[in-house]
Amino acid sequence: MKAFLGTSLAITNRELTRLRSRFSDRSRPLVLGALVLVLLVSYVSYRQQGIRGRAIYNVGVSSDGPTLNDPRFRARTMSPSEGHAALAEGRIDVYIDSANVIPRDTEKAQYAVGALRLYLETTELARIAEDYPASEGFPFRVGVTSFPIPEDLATERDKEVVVPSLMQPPMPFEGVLKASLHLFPIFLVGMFFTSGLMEERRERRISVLLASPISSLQIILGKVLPYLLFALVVVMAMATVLGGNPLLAAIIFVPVICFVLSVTLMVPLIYRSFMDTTFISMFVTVATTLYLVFPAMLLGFSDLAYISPLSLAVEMYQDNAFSLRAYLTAALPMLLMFSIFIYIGSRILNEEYLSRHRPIYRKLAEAVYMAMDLRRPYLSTFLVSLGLIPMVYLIQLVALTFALNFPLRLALGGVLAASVVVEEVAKSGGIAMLIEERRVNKVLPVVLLAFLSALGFLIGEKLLLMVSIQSVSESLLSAVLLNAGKLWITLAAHWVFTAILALLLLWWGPRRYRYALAVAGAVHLMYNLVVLGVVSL
Amino acid sequence: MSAAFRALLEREVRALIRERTILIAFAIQLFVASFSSTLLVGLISIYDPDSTQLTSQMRPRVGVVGEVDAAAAMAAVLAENDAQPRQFPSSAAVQVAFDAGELDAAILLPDTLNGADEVSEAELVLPASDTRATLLRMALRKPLKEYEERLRKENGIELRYANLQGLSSSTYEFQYGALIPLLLFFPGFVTGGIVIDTISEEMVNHTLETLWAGPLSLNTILGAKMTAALAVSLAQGLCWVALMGLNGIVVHRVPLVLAVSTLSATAIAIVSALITLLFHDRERGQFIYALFILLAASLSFMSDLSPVTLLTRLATGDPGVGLSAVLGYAALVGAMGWGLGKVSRRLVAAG
Repeated sequence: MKAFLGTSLAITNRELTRLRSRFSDRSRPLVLGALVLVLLVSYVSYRQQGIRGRAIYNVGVSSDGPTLNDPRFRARTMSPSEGHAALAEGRIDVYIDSANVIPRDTEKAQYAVGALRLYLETTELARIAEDYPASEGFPFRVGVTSFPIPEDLATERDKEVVVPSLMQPPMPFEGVLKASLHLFPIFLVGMFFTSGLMEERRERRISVLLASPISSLQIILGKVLPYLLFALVVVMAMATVLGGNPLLAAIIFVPVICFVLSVTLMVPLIYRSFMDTTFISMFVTVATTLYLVFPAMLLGFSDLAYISPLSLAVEMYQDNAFSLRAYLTAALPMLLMFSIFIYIGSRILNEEYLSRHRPIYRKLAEAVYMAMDLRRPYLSTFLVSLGLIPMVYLIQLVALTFALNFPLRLALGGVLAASVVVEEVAKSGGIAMLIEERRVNKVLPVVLLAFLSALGFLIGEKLLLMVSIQSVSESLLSAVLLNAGKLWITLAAHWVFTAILALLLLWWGPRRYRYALAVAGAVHLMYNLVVLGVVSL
Repeated sequence: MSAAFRALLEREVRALIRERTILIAFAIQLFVASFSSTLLVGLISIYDPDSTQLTSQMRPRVGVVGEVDAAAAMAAVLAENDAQPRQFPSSAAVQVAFDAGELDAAILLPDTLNGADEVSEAELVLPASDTRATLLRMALRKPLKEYEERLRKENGIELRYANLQGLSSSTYEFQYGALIPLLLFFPGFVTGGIVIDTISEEMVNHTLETLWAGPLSLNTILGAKMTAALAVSLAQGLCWVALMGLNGIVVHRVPLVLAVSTLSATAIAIVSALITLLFHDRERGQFIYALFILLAASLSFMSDLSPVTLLTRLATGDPGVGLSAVLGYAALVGAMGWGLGKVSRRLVAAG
């Protein structure tokens, strides 16, 4: 173990030297300057909150009218005659003549009036707070408490007292925006990691390492470590600047950093050209950002928000506590994905795999095949299914979150179809490769493999459901997606679907995978619809 | 357009089309657009303090307890705002009704209403469930505010501009201030990535020298590579405008909007080419490029002179901006292109 770690640290040291040499010339001050500038400008931009748009509305204001300090309004002072002329010519959307607001006869002008109403209400409340005693300006207060009604409300200590006009909805936007700032350095570090590994692969320096007695796992861990530590330090520093708890931020963001690094590890291992790398990295960045940001927007409305670690960061910035279960719901899938990708990476980091030029889906299938122990195909098939669960879970959670935006019927149809495809691909991937490589060619072993794959999948699902927070595990859609039904029925169903797919592959040949998938998927979909009661037998 | 430039351009476009992973770029944008528009627009309508949508959808059943006139006044305000008020003689009766599932929330008013300088403190009782309580609290915010406004008026204080109506602006602002700029600038970000990849690939494989040794100048090579990437960007821009039209989002002055989008993509392509020539490798090139994009995006949301603001104003049909602003922007981009042409040879030679 000591020797293992020692070698990994030696690789870490080598990576640091490589990075230092990469930026030893004129690029170092430029890069550092740009980095500082970006962080500064991003922070200022975040403070300005210009995200709602600038100069959307043209507003004319008389000299005794209100001052509009909001970037959405492009305000110009004009006399009433100029203002009315500007309105008639369509140069402005609204004219504010002292206390009168005169809009043009357009839809956009009506939006402008709506926006002005909210803005002016805020400024008016500020004026009243300044000009009048609080008891006169804000004569109504509301103590908020919950059922059952406490016996003596007046002395109730826990209640919150609010002024309705000053009561803000629990908008997590600002919190989410703040927490999202942490993602920039994580993605930048991930990008650096990808590029570095790609350069090493292109210049064949990785081949030199692979020819040495150092294992692939040591190489990968040694290379990941400096980026992980760097990202962690930056995240903690940002949390300190933004008023969070740096230690808690580290705990919250470690799964995110690990996940991003493991995904970005896979990109250079399967890439064929620079453009492949760019687009796949871009896709990974966007998909991960959406996965992290959008559930966090639901914070306060749905506990589904806790599938994203960003929600925990928002809670941290609001000084709210969160449970260990909420943390596990967010962190576990990401940490499991990290472990699986590191393992697969260590299996495919070899000359043979790296030098092959194949379509991306082929490279992914080969990666799964290489992750299997061919001396133990049955155990490997079981473990592949079990191991792919976090990925399936992540994809299904994204689908679930996305589906929340649509009417239930539409959401159900789309999510069920997508999840059926994802599940069947995950369960059959290993078996398909074993059939293609002629490791199995008889019906009985294929049926047995299908059973073990179904078993691995089911065990993985149940383990994840055990740690998920209630709202995730009990939502109607997840009941179907994550097969929260009776154990033996679910196992039998999984077995049947996978066996159909695998037997069709055996008979039709692996080239007809998509047709076999369509047949098994259709049966699986029908089963789900029956479980949901949409279709009755 | 010289024959050599045309031949090279055709080669680059063919290479891009052959590269099927470019479809991922389109998928990313579709992904972003569908997520943003559905989820964000949905969320904005919930969070919008101005929106009555929530109350009208929920129609919360609210029990009101208090002195007769005050309770009647509160019930009237609640009814005007799509809630379903029901008056009760005591808080115990409210509790019974809540336990029977007949109520969502309760408002307990003080026995005597305030005099001129007295603060009235009511109690809002909500279910224990956080999620439901949050939604009810937001749904009841508007009627409670109106009730407060009545009391404020009794104190002789009036909010000016309180009678303004208009339409809820959140969705409109999101569409024109965020969604349209995001969708029409994203192709530019993709362009920059393509330019860095194609140039650095030629540089590290030493094929740039081979191309350069022929009848082509370095600037012609760079121009052809950038033009091919820009063609992809323009095609994406056109797709987005068409898709938004199909979704009922009207983009005004489409030619000028597309011109700004393409000019921005050109500016990004020029900067990307410059970065690649300066650093010679993809690793540092893509890193600096990512920093540049972050910087440009942050600055764009801070200034009225930015292309994002220009595009927003054009897309909303603002008559205050037009061809002259776009031409000014084009002149700036042209100057950037001229600058790149001047330094390109020197930068490659320095490598």
